Amino acid sequence: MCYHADMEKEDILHLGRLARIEITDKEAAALQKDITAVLEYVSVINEITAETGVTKKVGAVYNVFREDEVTTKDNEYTDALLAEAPATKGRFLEVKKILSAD
Amino acid sequence: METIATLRRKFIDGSYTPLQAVEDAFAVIAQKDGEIHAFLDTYREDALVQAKDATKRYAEQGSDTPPLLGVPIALKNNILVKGKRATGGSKILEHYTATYDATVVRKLQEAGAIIVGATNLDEFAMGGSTENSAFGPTKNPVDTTRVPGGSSGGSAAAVAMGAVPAALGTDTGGSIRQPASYCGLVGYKPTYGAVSRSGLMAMGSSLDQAGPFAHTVSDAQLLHTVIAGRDPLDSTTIDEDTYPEVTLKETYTIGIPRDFIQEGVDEDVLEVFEEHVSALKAAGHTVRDVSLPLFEKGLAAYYVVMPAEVSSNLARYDGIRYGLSVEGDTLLDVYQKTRAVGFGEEVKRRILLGTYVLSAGYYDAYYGKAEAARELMRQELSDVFRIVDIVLLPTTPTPAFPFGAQSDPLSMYKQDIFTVPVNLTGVPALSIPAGTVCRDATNKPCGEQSQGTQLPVGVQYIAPHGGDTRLFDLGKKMHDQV
Repeated sequence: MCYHADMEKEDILHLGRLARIEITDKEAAALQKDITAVLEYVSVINEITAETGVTKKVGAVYNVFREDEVTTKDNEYTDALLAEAPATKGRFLEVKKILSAD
Repeated sequence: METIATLRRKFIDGSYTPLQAVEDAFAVIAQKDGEIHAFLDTYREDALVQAKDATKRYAEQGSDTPPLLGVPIALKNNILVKGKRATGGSKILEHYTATYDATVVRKLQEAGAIIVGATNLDEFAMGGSTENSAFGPTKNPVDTTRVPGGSSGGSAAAVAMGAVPAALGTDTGGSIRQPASYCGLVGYKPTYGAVSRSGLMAMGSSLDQAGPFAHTVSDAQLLHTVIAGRDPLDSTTIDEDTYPEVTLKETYTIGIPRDFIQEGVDEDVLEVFEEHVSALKAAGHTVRDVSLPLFEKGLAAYYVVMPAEVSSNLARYDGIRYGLSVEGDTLLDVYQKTRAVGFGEEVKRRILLGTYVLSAGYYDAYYGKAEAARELMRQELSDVFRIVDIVLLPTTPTPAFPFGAQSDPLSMYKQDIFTVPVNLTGVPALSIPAGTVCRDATNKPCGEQSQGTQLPVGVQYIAPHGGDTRLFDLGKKMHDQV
């Protein structure tokens, strides 16, 4: 498998769409160069694990549970949180329609 | 500004008061911060009210008061303080007010600390110089033509310029230790899970920890002790018995991964490092070579894991719930325009990189491999800790660099080569000042004729998981008590 294929401009624009960031042509050119360079650099991780096949997670890994119960009071944070929202209608966040008419 | 220990002694005996300390802190800020730009916001009115109250309490109760009562502290502005602006150094949160306190903030306040202001940082803690802050860079108080390091550069500068005796930063790949090294301070990255991440803006959730900047190791230890502990709001926090006990000793065996520092380290930095090795031997500690070949590849694993976590964590900044929102025709349009305008260049770069390594077909090749590499690094380090008590490395390969000197992303990333393996493996590390190197106006080593500036350089002690106290013990022996 090829670990550091050069990024094409269209690849960058596609990543921008996946990440929900509008990318200009000028940005795409710079990102194309930088991301290709970083991917080439990080490809050495393939050498590390090539022989061992280790897939375990790092550190002290165990589940942490708590009771499934409400820990806050009604409306405790509602006003403060709504005050930070860019657009609200009553007690709701207001958002744009998801689909355009055409 | 004096150490926390000295302030505390003077507050108790009445020769200096919290009110004077806070007034002095703001005098320093007024005098120096126009140039340094360590602070994004200051809380003068609140701080003075608390200082008056603390002064009264010392007069009435003396030493029977909380350990940080009246001590001025600064906080990196990715740490939430209820009712205060929390920008993360980003345009996208320029007008965002925190709706709750971070656990570390609550603990500092319970211990009596007075939060005097919020400090500058690289946007969302991504960078090594504060040059990526949306609100302009911070200057290094030691030499204002140079960066203070980053991403917690504002916190480091606030302490180094004498505004506060200590400050909190966050460290995902070196963001406390590297600026501490550049500014001549003690900087500390705790064992992963020792300190709650509740109320810190998430960058790389499996890597992030909050920790102190201070002038002495014992001040850093005091602050760490106050903020550490199990927190129901962060299920990754650890108990005292999560890891086997790491004992304290009269003298330690210290391992140096010689191969790792063979290349890419500034000659003068290496000389300071060797002087520190000699000082350790002179103090009775045993020094031996160790081998950590995977550590050399840590930076590669880091630049897969971290961007992956960044791309997930920063998905929350969408222009809908809080922060900047840019008008658009559809919901998708709002997302894309808000994030295009709100995020800076480095943040976009890392989000896209993270999106790539997590995308279908590449996940196993990159993220899966990098996580496996972390496990192997952890095993390698754990084997080394069977034969040594502490691992010693330079904190950074160079001293603080001039503004604009690391314009290429990869060369900036390589400043973190010695700090990122610590975050990847989750162990604690302490950076202490070890000496200085001289640089002239052209950033060349000072010759016999040329004048220059003495720039501080740090060394880094690394201990096993849960070995935080051992680091403080050796740090106090080698830094505070000399």
